[in-house]
Amino acid sequence: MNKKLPAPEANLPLPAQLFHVLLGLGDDTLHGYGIIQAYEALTGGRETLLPGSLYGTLNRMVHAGLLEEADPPPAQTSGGPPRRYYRATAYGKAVARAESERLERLLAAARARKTVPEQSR
Amino acid sequence: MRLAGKERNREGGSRRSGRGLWTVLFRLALLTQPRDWRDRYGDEATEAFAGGVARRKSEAGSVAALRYALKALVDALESGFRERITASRRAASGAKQSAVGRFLDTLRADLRYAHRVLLKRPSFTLPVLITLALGIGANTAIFSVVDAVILKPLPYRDAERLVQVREITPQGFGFTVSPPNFASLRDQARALEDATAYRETLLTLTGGELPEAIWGVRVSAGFFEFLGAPPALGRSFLPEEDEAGAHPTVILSHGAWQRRFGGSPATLGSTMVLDGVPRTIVGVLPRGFRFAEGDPEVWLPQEFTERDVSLRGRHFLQVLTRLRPGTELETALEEMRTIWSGLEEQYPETNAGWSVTAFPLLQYVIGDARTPLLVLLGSAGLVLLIACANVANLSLARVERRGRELAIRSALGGSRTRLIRQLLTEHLVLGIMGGVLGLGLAYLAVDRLLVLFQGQLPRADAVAVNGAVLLFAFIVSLGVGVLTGLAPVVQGTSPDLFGALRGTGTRLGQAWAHGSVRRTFVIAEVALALMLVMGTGLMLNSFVRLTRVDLGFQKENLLTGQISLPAARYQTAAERALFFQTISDDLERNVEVVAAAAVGVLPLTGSYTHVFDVPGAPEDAMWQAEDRLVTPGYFRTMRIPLLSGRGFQQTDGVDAPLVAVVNETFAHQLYQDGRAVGRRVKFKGAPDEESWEIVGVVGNTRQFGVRTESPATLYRPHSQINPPSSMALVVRSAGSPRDLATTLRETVRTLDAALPIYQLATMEDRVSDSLTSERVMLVLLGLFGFIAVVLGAIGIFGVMSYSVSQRTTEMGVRIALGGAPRDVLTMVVLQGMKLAALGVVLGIVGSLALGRILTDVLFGVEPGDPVTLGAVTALIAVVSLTACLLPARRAAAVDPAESLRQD
Repeated sequence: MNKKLPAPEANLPLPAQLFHVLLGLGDDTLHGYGIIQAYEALTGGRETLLPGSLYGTLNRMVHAGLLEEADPPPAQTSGGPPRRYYRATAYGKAVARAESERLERLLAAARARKTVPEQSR
Repeated sequence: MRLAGKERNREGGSRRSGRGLWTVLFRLALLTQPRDWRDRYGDEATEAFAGGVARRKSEAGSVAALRYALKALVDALESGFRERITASRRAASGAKQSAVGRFLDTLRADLRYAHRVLLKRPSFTLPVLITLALGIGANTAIFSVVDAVILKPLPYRDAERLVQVREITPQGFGFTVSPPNFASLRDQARALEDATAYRETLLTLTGGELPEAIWGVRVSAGFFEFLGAPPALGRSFLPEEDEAGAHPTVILSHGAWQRRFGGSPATLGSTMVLDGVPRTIVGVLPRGFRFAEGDPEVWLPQEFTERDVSLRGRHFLQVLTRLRPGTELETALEEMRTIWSGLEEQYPETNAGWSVTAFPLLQYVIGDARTPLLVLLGSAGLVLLIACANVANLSLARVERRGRELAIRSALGGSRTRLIRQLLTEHLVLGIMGGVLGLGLAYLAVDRLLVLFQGQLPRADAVAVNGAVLLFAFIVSLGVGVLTGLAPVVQGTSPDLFGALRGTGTRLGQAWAHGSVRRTFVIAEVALALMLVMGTGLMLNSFVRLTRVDLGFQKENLLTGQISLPAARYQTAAERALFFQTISDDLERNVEVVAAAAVGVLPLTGSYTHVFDVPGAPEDAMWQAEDRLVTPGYFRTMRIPLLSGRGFQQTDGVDAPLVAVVNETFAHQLYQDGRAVGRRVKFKGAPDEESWEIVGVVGNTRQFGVRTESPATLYRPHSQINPPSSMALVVRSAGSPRDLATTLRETVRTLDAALPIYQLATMEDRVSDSLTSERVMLVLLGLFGFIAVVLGAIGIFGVMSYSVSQRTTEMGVRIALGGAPRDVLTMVVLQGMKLAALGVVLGIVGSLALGRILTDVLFGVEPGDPVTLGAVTALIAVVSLTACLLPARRAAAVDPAESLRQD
């Protein structure tokens, strides 16, 4: 997969689920369920990723160059079905950063309009 | 992420051992995904789904798990269809037809073929569709109720964080909150984001032709914003309206605005006279806003008086709070308990012994409707299982008959998977068609179901056949298609097609040996039917007991109604006492009236508890009893027997010595010798000269409801104390109590034309209404039990008939060799009854295991009641025997010569 990737900003606004996956992954190498758990832990259990649509999304993200499939981390070779592990590519991280900056700008605008109470920071 | 690895191991283990229904459904939903998607991700996605369900179940309960499961299922279905559409678009643009395109083509062909096959055999299709429609319909109807009542979040902002707070009396009863305690809670609790208070109140509306009693709610400023439903028109209440002295205002419900003011915008600013006070209408609530039972028409500001906000001992507020995001209820409750023990230290004279409790608003709203609904849903599920077993058996028979066709298709190169898919498609089509019919049935049934509940089901207005219900029906239909299709698929495509091709089928004794799948189904059907009938039997048993409970008074020929005297016109105790005495006397002057009286709280309807000091009793003993204020004719009117001493007389007035009458329980609980007459009681903390002499003992009456034993009760003459402004009238009629309604209204009107009488009902209706939930369960379980028995009987009959028809030759040979027809009959009956017996044994085991669920609902019967179990077993045995006898007689009537010629 050596095609030329568009600039990270060209992906904005990033579809929510893609952003959530990138958030859940961070710098880790995880399988699908691991991404769900990490994302849930990150949001205090108030947000989730649903398995039915997640795997298709992961597949598309790999094709879009945001993720790459990776070997399982050494400690994680237990039983269960064979799992695919993913990690964010440098490009994926750049896109996530760009989306975060976009959201930050939006939030600042919302604060200026007082639609966000100050203490919610 | 070290932790994730550990967790995964645990979940991996549970995934292998317990494969729940949800997982199966999720797998089914994944069928919408393209094949290669499923190969790549199917197992992982299912694992993640099962893990998600399990985690929610252990952390947030089964309702949260259920909600997550439904959401994930919809998501899987949606994304599956999306994947397919993308895939087929890709295929359409590509030159070569993809696997997906081929699949879709095959699917279309299969569907066409399935329709043709099913339409060609109405004798098979019709009974199957009826059976499935009944099963799916029953489940869908009940689910629509469960969804609206239990599953759906309340229609308020952040409803899942809403928590009802109640105080607990020193005696351990849940109680309303006093305004100063509420203020302390609001100021001190850090786990709460916000709190508000309300109290339901009954108001007299005047200005129309007749005075009318209507429900209202007094609410704190900000109440509607708290719930996320500010008035659609006008304004909310202002903070200054929380206190008395502000200009009197009122906000209308949308319904009241439409009914009483024709929905005119000019309504704002006009006045409404409530309890004699003219109030300015300042707002109208949005359409569809509902809060509290009985759909209150008017909303008033709190208008707390100086006394209200200063007295910690006066409890009358309902308190609603919202947890801070991420705060657990337990944490908040812990903090509240700390606040309350602080209050106890600070204000021992009012708060000693008082504590606090809190629970989700949803739980408060649903009350005890939860168990009956879940039991009904479970029962409907059992009916569906029986229906599936029956349909599977019918299909098995059909597949065997179609053996030759399938064999030919197989011989002509039809692949095994292709055949399996064809058969499965047929059953999915059947399932979906049954589901559509069932949905129609459910749609019709839901309204009748609600009528059955007689308005006693909380949140009943939210019951509807909506998206969630449609999804439920769809998933159930798919599940039914697969369940009923599996056995025929296995049997119909098993390699033994050559026999079928030879056209001989099975011979002689082989037939019986072959039908083991079907016999298993029959055993399961009998077992499930027995469990359902057992449930019905237990409900019937306990219902009969409930109707036979001695209430302690004669409920026949009694009319009851409620009267509230407006404080503005009946200011003194003497005026109120005189009114209730006069109305009783006036009523008794009518020839149709045998006796009439007034009482503070009617039996069966509630509690009004006081704590007493009993001179001579141990110091630390806390005697609590129900306190009932009555007019002198009360015992006579209710026909409550006088056991010793005397009842009340007109002479027991305000200037006479204070007297009381107690019930039997009171006498025996407080006095070891049970002799209460002549002894004295006084309220806790009251001065000694304010003690009441017990002058009589009367029989017990059930105060809290039919199920609850009579509590210790103390009766006092209403004229010797400050009588409440609201009392219930009880009128005993010579003829039908319903005919007295007009007399009662007229008598009230003569005394005070501006006074409404409300909640007019005969005592028999009140008793019957209080058993509504039991009646609904009995009717529905009875219906399910009946369907189950009929389906089970059809199942046995079908299997035995089929086996007899397959074994005509065997029967012929037996008879030709000198076997008596009677022996053949016995053999067939025994074979059938062996199945039934196995089913009965399994059913009994199942009943005993599952019976615990009913414990809360039953009255006076144990879940494993041997008498009920015996009766139910006998019933199932008789039905099974009948179902076996018909085919057995046919077997015995076989003509040997005829049967041997057949081959």
